[in-house]
Amino acid sequence: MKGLGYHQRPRKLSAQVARMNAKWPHFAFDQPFGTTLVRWIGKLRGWQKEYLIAVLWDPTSADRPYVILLDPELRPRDGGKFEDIPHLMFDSKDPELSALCLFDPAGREWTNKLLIADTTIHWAAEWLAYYELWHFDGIWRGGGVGPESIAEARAAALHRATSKLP
Amino acid sequence: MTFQYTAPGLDDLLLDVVTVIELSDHDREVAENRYRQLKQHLERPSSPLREFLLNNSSLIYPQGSMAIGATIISGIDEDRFDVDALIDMKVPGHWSDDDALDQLFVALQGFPGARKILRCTRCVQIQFAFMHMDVTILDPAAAPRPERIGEIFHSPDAGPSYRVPANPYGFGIWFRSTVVYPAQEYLDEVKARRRAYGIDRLTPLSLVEKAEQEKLPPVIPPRIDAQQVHALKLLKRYLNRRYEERRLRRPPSVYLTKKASTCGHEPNGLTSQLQRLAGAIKLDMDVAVLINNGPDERNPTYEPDRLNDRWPVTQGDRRMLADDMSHLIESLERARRAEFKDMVAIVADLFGERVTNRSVETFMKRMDRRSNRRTLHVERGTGAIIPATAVAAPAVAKSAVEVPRHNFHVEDDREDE
Repeated sequence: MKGLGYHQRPRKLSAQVARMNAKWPHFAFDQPFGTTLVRWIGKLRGWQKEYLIAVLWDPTSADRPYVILLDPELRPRDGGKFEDIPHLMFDSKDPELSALCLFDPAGREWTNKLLIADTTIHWAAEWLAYYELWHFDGIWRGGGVGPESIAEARAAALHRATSKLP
Repeated sequence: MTFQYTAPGLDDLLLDVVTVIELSDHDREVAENRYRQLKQHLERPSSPLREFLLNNSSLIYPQGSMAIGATIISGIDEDRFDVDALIDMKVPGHWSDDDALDQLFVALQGFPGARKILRCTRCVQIQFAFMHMDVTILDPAAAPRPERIGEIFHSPDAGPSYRVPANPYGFGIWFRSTVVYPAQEYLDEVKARRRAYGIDRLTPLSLVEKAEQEKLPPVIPPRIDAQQVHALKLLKRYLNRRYEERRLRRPPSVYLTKKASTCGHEPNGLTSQLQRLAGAIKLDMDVAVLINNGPDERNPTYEPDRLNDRWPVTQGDRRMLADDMSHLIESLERARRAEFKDMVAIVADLFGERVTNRSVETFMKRMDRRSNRRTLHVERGTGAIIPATAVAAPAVAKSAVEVPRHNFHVEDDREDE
Protein backbone atom coordinates (compact mmCIF):
# COMPACT_ATOMS: atom_id res chain seq x y z
CA MET A 1 0.00 0.00 0.00
CA LYS A 2 1.27 3.45 -0.95
CA GLY A 3 3.10 5.38 1.73
CA LEU A 4 2.93 2.78 4.46
CA GLY A 5 6.05 1.47 6.16
CA TYR A 6 5.55 -2.27 5.99
CA HIS A 7 7.73 -4.24 8.33
CA GLN A 8 9.14 -7.70 7.76
CA ARG A 9 7.72 -9.05 11.00
CA PRO A 10 4.70 -8.14 13.14
CA ARG A 11 5.24 -4.90 14.99
CA LYS A 12 6.11 -5.28 18.66
CA LEU A 13 3.88 -3.69 21.26
CA SER A 14 6.74 -1.35 22.24
CA ALA A 15 6.95 -0.08 18.66
CA GLN A 16 3.21 0.52 18.52
CA VAL A 17 3.25 2.35 21.86
CA ALA A 18 6.25 4.49 20.86
CA ARG A 19 4.62 5.49 17.58
CA MET A 20 1.31 6.31 19.26
CA ASN A 21 3.11 8.46 21.84
CA ALA A 22 4.94 10.30 19.09
CA LYS A 23 2.04 10.88 16.71
CA TRP A 24 -0.99 10.97 19.00
CA PRO A 25 0.33 12.20 22.35
CA HIS A 26 -3.21 12.86 23.64
CA PHE A 27 -3.87 9.12 23.75
CA ALA A 28 -3.24 7.28 27.04
CA PHE A 29 -2.05 3.68 26.96
CA ASP A 30 -2.97 0.99 29.48
CA GLN A 31 -3.45 -2.76 29.85
CA PRO A 32 -6.45 -2.86 32.19
CA PHE A 33 -8.06 -6.24 31.58
CA GLY A 34 -5.56 -8.65 33.13
CA THR A 35 -5.13 -10.22 29.70
CA THR A 36 -2.89 -9.56 26.72
CA LEU A 37 -5.42 -7.03 25.44
CA VAL A 38 -4.10 -3.45 25.46
CA ARG A 39 -5.95 -0.16 25.13
CA TRP A 40 -5.37 3.42 24.05
CA ILE A 41 -7.93 6.04 25.03
CA GLY A 42 -7.90 9.54 23.60
CA LYS A 43 -9.74 12.30 21.81
CA LEU A 44 -10.06 12.46 18.06
CA ARG A 45 -11.85 14.88 15.75
CA GLY A 46 -13.53 14.14 12.46
CA TRP A 47 -14.55 17.68 11.57
CA GLN A 48 -14.70 19.89 14.63
CA LYS A 49 -16.28 17.85 17.39
CA GLU A 50 -14.06 15.85 19.71
CA TYR A 51 -14.85 12.19 20.35
CA LEU A 52 -13.36 10.11 23.10
CA ILE A 53 -12.43 6.80 21.51
CA ALA A 54 -10.85 3.55 22.64
CA VAL A 55 -8.51 1.46 20.51
CA LEU A 56 -8.33 -2.17 21.68
CA TRP A 57 -5.70 -4.54 20.38
CA ASP A 58 -4.16 -7.90 21.24
CA PRO A 59 -0.47 -7.74 20.30
CA THR A 60 -0.13 -11.51 20.68
CA SER A 61 -2.60 -12.25 17.91
CA ALA A 62 -2.85 -11.29 14.25
CA ASP A 63 -6.26 -9.77 14.88
CA ARG A 64 -6.99 -6.19 13.96
CA PRO A 65 -7.34 -3.26 16.36
CA TYR A 66 -10.92 -2.40 17.37
CA VAL A 67 -12.07 1.22 17.61
CA ILE A 68 -15.06 2.06 19.80
CA LEU A 69 -16.72 5.41 20.49
CA LEU A 70 -16.89 6.15 24.22
CA ASP A 71 -18.13 9.74 24.42
CA PRO A 72 -20.38 10.56 22.77
CA GLU A 73 -21.47 7.01 22.15
CA LEU A 74 -22.45 5.70 18.77
CA ARG A 75 -25.98 6.82 17.94
CA PRO A 76 -28.41 6.26 15.05
CA ARG A 77 -30.04 9.12 13.16
CA ASP A 78 -33.20 10.51 14.75
CA GLY A 79 -35.91 7.89 14.32
CA GLY A 80 -33.42 5.38 12.91
CA LYS A 81 -31.84 2.15 14.20
CA PHE A 82 -28.28 1.19 15.12
CA GLU A 83 -28.39 -1.28 12.25
CA ASP A 84 -28.61 1.66 9.83
CA ILE A 85 -25.29 3.17 10.92
CA PRO A 86 -22.80 2.61 8.11
CA HIS A 87 -19.64 0.56 8.31
CA LEU A 88 -19.65 -1.10 11.71
CA MET A 89 -18.49 -4.43 13.08
CA PHE A 90 -21.92 -4.84 14.51
CA ASP A 91 -22.46 -5.95 18.10
CA SER A 92 -26.08 -7.09 18.29
CA LYS A 93 -26.04 -7.31 22.10
CA ASP A 94 -24.56 -3.86 22.76
CA PRO A 95 -24.88 -2.02 19.44
CA GLU A 96 -23.56 1.26 20.88
CA LEU A 97 -20.30 -0.63 21.52
CA SER A 98 -20.01 -1.79 17.92
CA ALA A 99 -16.52 -1.22 16.57
CA LEU A 100 -15.91 0.86 13.45
CA CYS A 101 -15.27 -1.28 10.37
CA LEU A 102 -12.40 0.67 8.92
CA PHE A 103 -11.02 -1.58 6.19
CA ASP A 104 -11.76 -4.52 3.99
CA PRO A 105 -10.14 -7.66 5.48
CA ALA A 106 -10.20 -9.32 2.08
CA GLY A 107 -8.13 -6.46 0.70
CA ARG A 108 -5.47 -6.98 3.40
CA GLU A 109 -5.47 -3.25 4.05
CA TRP A 110 -4.29 -3.82 7.60
CA THR A 111 -1.87 -6.40 8.99
CA ASN A 112 -0.02 -6.41 12.28
CA LYS A 113 3.11 -5.43 10.35
CA LEU A 114 1.64 -1.94 10.14
CA LEU A 115 1.51 0.78 12.78
CA ILE A 116 -1.83 1.61 14.39
CA ALA A 117 -0.78 5.26 14.70
CA ASP A 118 -0.33 5.51 10.93
CA THR A 119 -3.40 3.57 9.83
CA THR A 120 -6.20 2.82 12.30
CA ILE A 121 -6.28 6.27 13.88
CA HIS A 122 -6.36 8.05 10.50
CA TRP A 123 -9.14 5.80 9.27
CA ALA A 124 -11.11 6.34 12.48
CA ALA A 125 -10.85 10.13 12.01
CA GLU A 126 -12.10 9.76 8.47
CA TRP A 127 -14.93 7.50 9.63
CA LEU A 128 -15.98 10.14 12.19
CA ALA A 129 -16.05 12.83 9.51
CA TYR A 130 -18.28 10.79 7.20
CA TYR A 131 -20.41 9.66 10.15
CA GLU A 132 -21.20 13.32 10.89
CA LEU A 133 -22.08 13.99 7.24
CA TRP A 134 -24.30 10.90 7.37
CA HIS A 135 -26.03 12.26 10.46
CA PHE A 136 -26.63 15.50 8.55
CA ASP A 137 -28.57 14.04 5.62
CA GLY A 138 -28.42 10.23 5.78
CA ILE A 139 -25.94 9.86 2.92
CA TRP A 140 -22.65 8.01 3.46
CA ARG A 141 -20.10 9.75 1.25
CA GLY A 142 -17.04 7.86 2.46
CA GLY A 143 -17.33 4.98 0.00
CA GLY A 144 -16.51 1.39 0.97
CA VAL A 145 -16.92 -2.15 -0.28
CA GLY A 146 -19.95 -4.40 0.11
CA PRO A 147 -23.13 -3.34 1.84
CA GLU A 148 -23.17 0.01 3.58
CA SER A 149 -24.76 -1.07 6.85
CA ILE A 150 -25.84 -4.13 8.79
CA ALA A 151 -29.45 -3.38 7.89
CA GLU A 152 -28.51 -3.45 4.23
CA ALA A 153 -26.39 -6.60 4.64
CA ARG A 154 -29.17 -8.44 6.48
CA ALA A 155 -31.78 -7.35 3.93
CA ALA A 156 -29.56 -8.65 1.14
CA ALA A 157 -28.99 -11.94 3.00
CA LEU A 158 -32.73 -12.33 3.56
CA HIS A 159 -33.40 -11.63 -0.09
CA ARG A 160 -30.83 -14.26 -1.12
CA ALA A 161 -32.32 -16.80 1.29
CA THR A 162 -35.92 -16.23 0.21
CA SER A 163 -35.09 -16.22 -3.47
CA LYS A 164 -33.72 -19.75 -3.05
CA LEU A 165 -37.01 -20.96 -1.60
CA PRO A 166 -39.05 -23.14 -3.91
CA MET B 1 -6.37 18.03 27.21
CA THR B 2 -5.63 20.99 24.98
CA PHE B 3 -6.21 20.49 21.30
CA GLN B 4 -4.66 22.76 18.72
CA TYR B 5 -6.71 25.88 18.15
CA THR B 6 -7.45 25.11 14.53
CA ALA B 7 -10.67 24.46 12.62
CA PRO B 8 -9.89 23.01 9.18
CA GLY B 9 -13.44 21.73 8.52
CA LEU B 10 -15.13 24.96 9.57
CA ASP B 11 -12.53 27.04 7.71
CA ASP B 12 -13.24 25.11 4.54
CA LEU B 13 -17.01 25.54 4.83
CA LEU B 14 -16.59 29.28 5.51
CA LEU B 15 -14.46 29.59 2.38
CA ASP B 16 -17.37 28.10 0.45
CA VAL B 17 -19.64 30.73 2.00
CA VAL B 18 -17.21 33.39 0.75
CA THR B 19 -17.40 32.12 -2.83
CA VAL B 20 -21.22 32.05 -2.65
CA ILE B 21 -21.62 35.63 -1.37
CA GLU B 22 -19.13 37.34 -3.68
CA LEU B 23 -19.42 38.45 -7.30
CA SER B 24 -18.73 35.70 -9.80
CA ASP B 25 -16.29 36.32 -12.65
CA HIS B 26 -19.30 36.92 -14.90
CA ASP B 27 -20.82 39.43 -12.45
CA ARG B 28 -17.54 41.30 -12.31
CA GLU B 29 -17.50 41.48 -16.08
CA VAL B 30 -21.00 43.02 -16.11
CA ALA B 31 -20.06 45.46 -13.34
CA GLU B 32 -16.91 46.37 -15.25
CA ASN B 33 -18.99 47.19 -18.28
CA ARG B 34 -21.18 49.54 -16.24
CA TYR B 35 -18.17 51.43 -14.95
CA ARG B 36 -17.16 51.93 -18.57
CA GLN B 37 -20.62 53.03 -19.61
CA LEU B 38 -20.50 55.60 -16.84
CA LYS B 39 -17.72 57.48 -18.61
CA GLN B 40 -19.47 57.29 -22.00
CA HIS B 41 -22.78 58.40 -20.54
CA LEU B 42 -21.41 61.33 -18.57
CA GLU B 43 -19.41 62.54 -21.57
CA ARG B 44 -22.33 62.41 -24.02
CA PRO B 45 -23.11 65.76 -25.71
CA SER B 46 -26.22 66.49 -23.61
CA SER B 47 -24.48 65.77 -20.26
CA PRO B 48 -24.07 68.83 -18.01
CA LEU B 49 -20.76 67.33 -16.82
CA ARG B 50 -19.34 66.82 -20.33
CA GLU B 51 -17.18 69.93 -20.43
CA PHE B 52 -15.63 69.14 -17.05
CA LEU B 53 -14.88 65.53 -17.93
CA LEU B 54 -13.40 66.10 -21.36
CA ASN B 55 -10.00 67.12 -20.11
CA ASN B 56 -6.94 65.10 -19.35
CA SER B 57 -7.13 65.29 -15.58
CA SER B 58 -10.59 63.79 -14.95
CA LEU B 59 -10.88 60.15 -13.94
CA ILE B 60 -13.64 57.64 -13.22
CA TYR B 61 -12.74 54.64 -11.08
CA PRO B 62 -14.17 52.16 -8.56
CA GLN B 63 -13.94 52.92 -4.87
CA GLY B 64 -14.93 51.12 -1.70
CA SER B 65 -15.33 47.35 -1.75
CA MET B 66 -14.91 47.13 -5.54
CA ALA B 67 -11.49 48.77 -5.29
CA ILE B 68 -10.30 46.11 -2.89
CA GLY B 69 -12.20 43.14 -4.33
CA ALA B 70 -14.43 42.68 -1.27
CA THR B 71 -17.88 43.23 -2.78
CA ILE B 72 -20.56 40.84 -1.53
CA ILE B 73 -24.29 40.44 -2.03
CA SER B 74 -26.22 43.04 -0.06
CA GLY B 75 -29.76 41.74 -0.03
CA ILE B 76 -30.89 38.96 2.26
CA ASP B 77 -33.83 37.75 0.19
CA GLU B 78 -32.44 38.87 -3.16
CA ASP B 79 -28.84 38.85 -4.32
CA ARG B 80 -28.02 42.49 -4.89
CA PHE B 81 -24.57 44.01 -5.23
CA ASP B 82 -23.82 47.56 -4.11
CA VAL B 83 -20.79 49.03 -5.85
CA ASP B 84 -19.26 52.51 -5.73
CA ALA B 85 -17.80 54.74 -8.42
CA LEU B 86 -15.86 57.94 -8.05
CA ILE B 87 -15.73 60.77 -10.57
CA ASP B 88 -12.51 62.64 -9.95
CA MET B 89 -13.32 65.94 -11.65
CA LYS B 90 -12.45 69.62 -11.15
CA VAL B 91 -15.65 71.24 -9.96
CA PRO B 92 -16.25 74.86 -11.14
CA GLY B 93 -15.52 77.42 -8.45
CA HIS B 94 -18.97 78.97 -8.64
CA TRP B 95 -20.83 75.72 -7.86
CA SER B 96 -22.34 75.42 -4.39
CA ASP B 97 -21.76 72.31 -2.29
CA ASP B 98 -25.13 71.02 -3.51
CA ASP B 99 -24.54 71.67 -7.20
CA ALA B 100 -22.09 68.84 -7.85
CA LEU B 101 -24.52 66.06 -6.88
CA ASP B 102 -27.48 67.94 -8.42
CA GLN B 103 -25.65 68.14 -11.74
CA LEU B 104 -24.55 64.52 -11.46
CA PHE B 105 -28.16 63.49 -10.86
CA VAL B 106 -29.21 65.27 -14.06
CA ALA B 107 -26.29 63.88 -16.02
CA LEU B 108 -27.07 60.28 -15.02
CA GLN B 109 -30.64 60.37 -16.28
CA GLY B 110 -31.21 57.86 -19.05
CA PHE B 111 -28.32 55.63 -17.97
CA PRO B 112 -28.62 52.32 -19.90
CA GLY B 113 -30.35 49.61 -17.87
CA ALA B 114 -31.13 51.89 -14.90
CA ARG B 115 -34.44 51.21 -13.22
CA LYS B 116 -34.27 54.14 -10.85
CA ILE B 117 -31.88 56.99 -10.05
CA LEU B 118 -31.78 58.46 -6.55
CA ARG B 119 -30.11 61.61 -5.25
CA CYS B 120 -28.56 60.70 -1.86
CA THR B 121 -26.61 62.76 0.69
CA ARG B 122 -23.13 61.96 -0.64
CA CYS B 123 -23.81 60.18 -3.93
CA VAL B 124 -26.27 59.52 -6.70
CA GLN B 125 -27.45 55.94 -6.72
CA ILE B 126 -28.22 54.14 -9.99
CA GLN B 127 -30.41 51.09 -9.41
CA PHE B 128 -30.12 48.21 -11.87
CA ALA B 129 -31.59 44.75 -11.61
CA PHE B 130 -29.49 43.02 -8.91
CA MET B 131 -27.05 45.91 -8.65
CA HIS B 132 -26.88 49.42 -7.20
CA MET B 133 -24.08 51.77 -8.16
CA ASP B 134 -23.35 54.74 -5.87
CA VAL B 135 -21.64 57.48 -7.87
CA THR B 136 -19.76 60.25 -6.07
CA ILE B 137 -17.91 63.32 -7.28
CA LEU B 138 -14.49 64.10 -5.83
CA ASP B 139 -13.15 67.61 -6.35
CA PRO B 140 -9.36 67.28 -6.57
CA ALA B 141 -7.16 69.17 -4.13
CA ALA B 142 -5.20 72.14 -5.46
CA ALA B 143 -1.79 71.52 -7.01
CA PRO B 144 0.69 70.26 -5.97
CA ARG B 145 -1.79 67.49 -5.32
CA PRO B 146 -0.86 64.33 -3.45
CA GLU B 147 -2.21 61.48 -5.56
CA ARG B 148 -6.01 61.56 -5.88
CA ILE B 149 -6.66 63.52 -2.69
CA GLY B 150 -9.70 65.78 -2.76
CA GLU B 151 -13.11 66.55 -1.30
CA ILE B 152 -16.47 64.88 -1.70
CA PHE B 153 -19.78 66.63 -1.09
CA HIS B 154 -22.08 66.15 1.87
CA SER B 155 -25.38 67.51 0.58
CA PRO B 156 -28.45 66.46 2.58
CA ASP B 157 -32.10 67.30 1.88
CA ALA B 158 -32.21 69.35 5.07
CA GLY B 159 -29.36 71.00 6.96
CA PRO B 160 -26.11 72.53 5.79
CA SER B 161 -24.03 71.16 2.96
CA TYR B 162 -20.27 70.93 3.23
CA ARG B 163 -17.17 69.34 1.75
CA VAL B 164 -15.48 66.27 3.24
CA PRO B 165 -11.74 65.53 2.79
CA ALA B 166 -11.27 62.15 1.15
CA ASN B 167 -8.79 59.87 -0.54
CA PRO B 168 -10.56 56.58 -1.28
CA TYR B 169 -8.03 55.67 -3.96
CA GLY B 170 -5.15 55.97 -1.51
CA PHE B 171 -7.07 53.89 1.02
CA GLY B 172 -7.54 51.09 -1.53
CA ILE B 173 -3.85 51.10 -2.40
CA TRP B 174 -2.92 51.09 1.30
CA PHE B 175 -5.25 48.16 2.00
CA ARG B 176 -3.91 46.12 -0.88
CA SER B 177 -0.37 46.67 0.31
CA THR B 178 -0.97 45.74 3.96
CA VAL B 179 -2.90 42.44 3.90
CA VAL B 180 -0.97 39.19 4.00
CA TYR B 181 -1.09 37.34 0.69
CA PRO B 182 -1.35 33.53 0.57
CA ALA B 183 0.66 31.01 -1.43
CA GLN B 184 -0.13 30.30 -5.08
CA GLU B 185 -1.77 26.91 -4.29
CA TYR B 186 -4.30 28.74 -2.13
CA LEU B 187 -5.15 31.13 -4.97
CA ASP B 188 -5.45 28.24 -7.42
CA GLU B 189 -7.83 26.31 -5.16
CA VAL B 190 -10.06 29.36 -4.56
CA LYS B 191 -10.17 30.07 -8.30
CA ALA B 192 -11.10 26.46 -9.01
CA ARG B 193 -13.97 26.63 -6.49
CA ARG B 194 -15.15 29.89 -7.97
CA ARG B 195 -15.24 28.37 -11.44
CA ALA B 196 -16.98 25.21 -10.24
CA TYR B 197 -19.51 26.69 -7.87
CA GLY B 198 -19.75 30.44 -8.55
CA ILE B 199 -23.21 31.93 -9.08
CA ASP B 200 -23.85 34.38 -11.92
CA ARG B 201 -26.46 36.92 -10.87
CA LEU B 202 -26.24 39.85 -13.26
CA THR B 203 -27.80 39.97 -16.71
CA PRO B 204 -25.33 38.78 -19.36
CA LEU B 205 -23.59 41.29 -21.59
CA SER B 206 -24.65 41.59 -25.19
CA LEU B 207 -22.20 40.35 -27.78
CA VAL B 208 -21.58 43.92 -28.92
CA GLU B 209 -20.78 45.07 -25.38
CA LYS B 210 -18.49 42.14 -24.85
CA ALA B 211 -16.57 42.68 -28.08
CA GLU B 212 -16.10 46.33 -27.24
CA GLN B 213 -14.99 45.61 -23.71
CA GLU B 214 -12.16 43.30 -24.65
CA LYS B 215 -10.32 46.14 -26.37
CA LEU B 216 -10.00 48.10 -23.14
CA PRO B 217 -7.81 47.64 -20.08
CA PRO B 218 -9.70 46.56 -16.94
CA VAL B 219 -11.34 49.22 -14.79
CA ILE B 220 -11.97 47.01 -11.74
CA PRO B 221 -8.81 45.95 -9.91
CA PRO B 222 -8.42 42.19 -9.38
CA ARG B 223 -9.87 40.51 -6.31
CA ILE B 224 -7.67 39.98 -3.29
CA ASP B 225 -7.90 36.36 -2.22
CA ALA B 226 -6.28 37.00 1.14
CA GLN B 227 -7.61 35.50 4.34
CA GLN B 228 -8.14 38.99 5.84
CA VAL B 229 -10.35 39.93 2.87
CA HIS B 230 -12.33 36.70 3.15
CA ALA B 231 -12.91 37.42 6.84
CA LEU B 232 -14.06 40.93 5.92
CA LYS B 233 -16.56 39.54 3.41
CA LEU B 234 -17.98 37.20 6.04
CA LEU B 235 -18.18 39.99 8.60
CA LYS B 236 -20.02 42.25 6.16
CA ARG B 237 -22.46 39.49 5.29
CA TYR B 238 -23.09 38.82 8.98
CA LEU B 239 -23.73 42.52 9.66
CA ASN B 240 -26.04 42.80 6.64
CA ARG B 241 -28.21 40.18 8.27
CA ARG B 242 -28.01 41.67 11.76
CA TYR B 243 -28.92 45.18 10.59
CA GLU B 244 -31.57 44.19 8.09
CA GLU B 245 -34.49 44.63 10.46
CA ARG B 246 -32.98 47.50 12.45
CA ARG B 247 -33.64 51.16 11.98
CA LEU B 248 -30.10 52.03 13.03
CA ARG B 249 -27.40 53.31 10.70
CA ARG B 250 -24.87 50.61 9.84
CA PRO B 251 -21.18 50.82 10.67
CA PRO B 252 -19.33 52.13 7.62
CA SER B 253 -17.76 49.52 5.42
CA VAL B 254 -14.53 51.51 5.17
CA TYR B 255 -14.08 51.36 8.97
CA LEU B 256 -14.56 47.57 8.94
CA THR B 257 -12.12 47.35 6.03
CA LYS B 258 -9.42 49.21 7.90
CA LYS B 259 -9.89 46.93 10.91
CA ALA B 260 -9.61 43.87 8.64
CA SER B 261 -6.09 44.95 7.84
CA THR B 262 -4.92 46.44 11.14
CA CYS B 263 -6.19 43.51 13.23
CA GLY B 264 -3.37 41.48 11.67
CA HIS B 265 -3.05 38.09 10.02
CA GLU B 266 -4.09 34.94 11.86
CA PRO B 267 -2.01 31.81 11.12
CA ASN B 268 -4.68 29.46 12.53
CA GLY B 269 -7.11 29.91 9.65
CA LEU B 270 -10.23 31.73 8.46
CA THR B 271 -12.36 31.06 11.56
CA SER B 272 -9.62 32.47 13.78
CA GLN B 273 -9.18 35.41 11.37
CA LEU B 274 -12.87 36.26 11.61
CA GLN B 275 -12.80 35.97 15.40
CA ARG B 276 -9.70 38.14 15.51
CA LEU B 277 -11.39 40.83 13.38
CA ALA B 278 -14.57 40.70 15.48
CA GLY B 279 -12.47 40.88 18.64
CA ALA B 280 -10.63 44.00 17.41
CA ILE B 281 -13.91 45.75 16.57
CA LYS B 282 -15.46 44.74 19.89
CA LEU B 283 -12.48 46.18 21.74
CA ASP B 284 -12.86 49.46 19.79
CA MET B 285 -16.54 49.62 20.72
CA ASP B 286 -15.96 48.77 24.38
CA VAL B 287 -13.39 51.56 24.70
CA ALA B 288 -15.63 53.99 22.81
CA VAL B 289 -18.56 53.19 25.12
CA LEU B 290 -16.34 53.73 28.16
CA ILE B 291 -15.25 57.21 27.07
CA ASN B 292 -18.49 57.98 25.20
CA ASN B 293 -16.45 58.99 22.18
CA GLY B 294 -15.07 57.50 18.98
CA PRO B 295 -13.75 55.47 17.41
CA ASP B 296 -12.12 57.96 15.11
CA GLU B 297 -10.22 55.90 12.55
CA ARG B 298 -8.44 57.86 9.83
CA ASN B 299 -7.44 57.02 6.30
CA PRO B 300 -3.77 55.99 6.70
CA THR B 301 -2.90 57.78 3.46
CA TYR B 302 -4.70 61.02 4.31
CA GLU B 303 -5.18 61.97 7.95
CA PRO B 304 -8.06 64.46 7.41
CA ASP B 305 -10.16 61.66 5.85
CA ARG B 306 -12.20 60.47 8.87
CA LEU B 307 -13.63 57.00 8.35
CA ASN B 308 -16.08 57.32 11.25
CA ASP B 309 -17.32 60.82 10.47
CA ARG B 310 -20.97 59.69 10.36
CA TRP B 311 -20.92 56.63 12.60
CA PRO B 312 -21.22 55.93 15.51
CA VAL B 313 -23.48 58.72 16.69
CA THR B 314 -24.88 57.28 19.93
CA GLN B 315 -23.81 54.94 22.70
CA GLY B 316 -26.53 52.63 21.38
CA ASP B 317 -24.71 52.39 18.02
CA ARG B 318 -21.54 51.35 19.82
CA ARG B 319 -23.21 48.87 22.16
CA MET B 320 -25.14 47.27 19.32
CA LEU B 321 -21.99 46.57 17.33
CA ALA B 322 -20.15 45.33 20.44
CA ASP B 323 -23.02 42.91 21.12
CA ASP B 324 -23.00 41.76 17.50
CA MET B 325 -19.28 41.05 17.70
CA SER B 326 -19.75 39.09 20.94
CA HIS B 327 -22.48 37.02 19.31
CA LEU B 328 -20.28 36.33 16.29
CA ILE B 329 -17.27 35.30 18.40
CA GLU B 330 -19.35 33.06 20.68
CA SER B 331 -21.17 31.44 17.75
CA LEU B 332 -17.90 30.61 16.02
CA GLU B 333 -16.56 29.24 19.28
CA ARG B 334 -19.56 26.89 19.49
CA ALA B 335 -19.14 25.92 15.85
CA ARG B 336 -15.53 24.93 16.56
CA ARG B 337 -16.73 22.21 18.92
CA ALA B 338 -19.95 21.23 17.16
CA GLU B 339 -20.71 18.19 15.06
CA PHE B 340 -21.31 18.89 11.40
CA LYS B 341 -25.09 19.36 11.46
CA ASP B 342 -24.91 21.78 14.38
CA MET B 343 -22.01 23.56 12.73
CA VAL B 344 -24.17 24.08 9.63
CA ALA B 345 -27.03 25.43 11.76
CA ILE B 346 -24.67 27.96 13.37
CA VAL B 347 -23.28 29.03 9.99
CA ALA B 348 -26.86 29.44 8.69
CA ASP B 349 -27.74 31.61 11.68
CA LEU B 350 -24.71 33.82 11.03
CA PHE B 351 -24.73 34.13 7.24
CA GLY B 352 -28.20 33.07 6.11
CA GLU B 353 -29.89 29.80 5.34
CA ARG B 354 -29.96 30.21 1.56
CA VAL B 355 -26.26 31.03 1.37
CA THR B 356 -25.38 28.21 3.76
CA ASN B 357 -27.44 25.61 1.89
CA ARG B 358 -25.59 26.48 -1.28
CA SER B 359 -22.24 26.33 0.52
CA VAL B 360 -23.02 22.95 2.10
CA GLU B 361 -24.05 21.60 -1.28
CA THR B 362 -20.67 22.49 -2.79
CA PHE B 363 -18.83 21.23 0.30
CA MET B 364 -20.64 17.87 0.09
CA LYS B 365 -19.85 17.50 -3.60
CA ARG B 366 -16.16 17.95 -2.91
CA MET B 367 -16.20 15.53 0.02
CA ASP B 368 -18.04 12.74 -1.79
CA ARG B 369 -15.62 9.86 -2.26
CA ARG B 370 -18.16 7.76 -4.11
CA SER B 371 -17.57 9.84 -7.22
CA ASN B 372 -14.19 11.26 -6.34
CA ARG B 373 -11.28 9.15 -5.13
CA ARG B 374 -9.38 12.07 -3.68
CA THR B 375 -7.08 11.33 -0.79
CA LEU B 376 -7.84 13.14 2.43
CA HIS B 377 -5.43 14.45 5.00
CA VAL B 378 -5.72 14.59 8.77
CA GLU B 379 -4.21 17.05 11.17
CA ARG B 380 -1.52 15.30 13.18
CA GLY B 381 -2.39 15.19 16.87
CA THR B 382 -6.13 15.93 16.58
CA GLY B 383 -7.24 13.80 13.64
CA ALA B 384 -9.28 16.68 12.18
CA ILE B 385 -9.96 16.06 8.51
CA ILE B 386 -8.40 18.67 6.22
CA PRO B 387 -10.70 18.91 3.22
CA ALA B 388 -8.16 20.78 1.06
CA THR B 389 -4.59 21.28 2.21
CA ALA B 390 -4.04 24.10 -0.32
CA VAL B 391 -6.49 26.37 1.51
CA ALA B 392 -5.76 25.10 5.00
CA ALA B 393 -4.22 27.49 7.50
CA PRO B 394 -0.40 27.36 7.62
CA ALA B 395 -0.63 25.93 11.15
CA VAL B 396 -2.83 23.10 9.83
CA ALA B 397 -1.06 22.46 6.52
CA LYS B 398 2.30 21.88 8.19
CA SER B 399 0.86 19.04 10.27
CA ALA B 400 -1.20 17.45 7.48
CA VAL B 401 -0.74 13.71 7.06
CA GLU B 402 -2.18 11.76 4.15
CA VAL B 403 -4.71 9.10 5.10
CA PRO B 404 -3.58 5.71 3.74
CA ARG B 405 -5.92 4.21 1.19
CA HIS B 406 -8.54 1.88 2.59
CA ASN B 407 -12.12 0.80 2.10
CA PHE B 408 -14.77 0.95 4.79
CA HIS B 409 -16.51 -2.36 5.32
CA VAL B 410 -19.31 -4.04 7.30
CA GLU B 411 -19.23 -7.11 9.55
CA ASP B 412 -22.22 -8.76 11.19
CA ASP B 413 -21.75 -10.70 14.44
CA ARG B 414 -24.77 -12.85 13.52
CA GLU B 415 -22.75 -14.39 10.74
CA ASP B 416 -20.66 -16.01 13.48
CA GLU B 417 -23.70 -17.60 15.12
